[in-house]
Amino acid sequence: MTLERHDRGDAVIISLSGHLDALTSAEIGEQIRSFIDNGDTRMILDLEKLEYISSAGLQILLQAAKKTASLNGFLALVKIAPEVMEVLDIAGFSSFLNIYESVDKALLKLAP
Amino acid sequence: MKSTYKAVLPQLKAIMADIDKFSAAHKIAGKWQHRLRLVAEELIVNIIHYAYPDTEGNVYLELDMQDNTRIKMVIINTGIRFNPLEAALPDTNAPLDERQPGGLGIMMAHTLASRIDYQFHDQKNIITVFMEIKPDE
Repeated sequence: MTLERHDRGDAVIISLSGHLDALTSAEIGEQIRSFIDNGDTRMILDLEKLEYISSAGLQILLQAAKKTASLNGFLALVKIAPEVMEVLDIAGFSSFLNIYESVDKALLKLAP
Repeated sequence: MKSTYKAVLPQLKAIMADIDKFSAAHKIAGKWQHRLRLVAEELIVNIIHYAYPDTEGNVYLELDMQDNTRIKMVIINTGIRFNPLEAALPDTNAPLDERQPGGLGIMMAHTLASRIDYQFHDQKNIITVFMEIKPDE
């Protein structure tokens, strides 16, 4: 599981690759939390290379969505693989998370 | 596939590697491979947390492909009595600010499996899962 960070204007793009599961989610969640704590409240998660997610990974997304929202920020998920999308749908997360096809489309929504 | 693992989180890596080998051997890929991993992870993680809250033990996992259309998964542990089918399920229609962590994993296992049975027999928690494989999905 790897996390890469890129800045685009005042938004931060976090690319996750690998498996977000009960083994990896604590560390990834800690990194995302620290970004938000340090002021990165406009966040795009690029999930193109995320191959697998379980409920432990969903909790990370839930925490990040709640925390950015509480700080008047924004969390978007982009380029989600069908397997991962199915999990978001089953959990009911696709109804309240901001989901876009691409980073550029998410950035358009983020534009002030 | 039949194997016994220590019921601790770091063992999940070995468990998932064995599940992936089973999937490869039976040409299970894409969504079905993801679903099989997910159901196994959610049940085993709950066993580690709730059947062995203060003690160490093992978890036995058996996977069989039946008639090329059905996966049978048997998970056995000798921890305290823990029936995952009795876990409280979350409200998946709740909005963001009302969503609570917990319960999601078992709910997803319920959704993806066609049947989950639980028995407590001879001091063993025995969970049997059936997943129907539909090639068009």
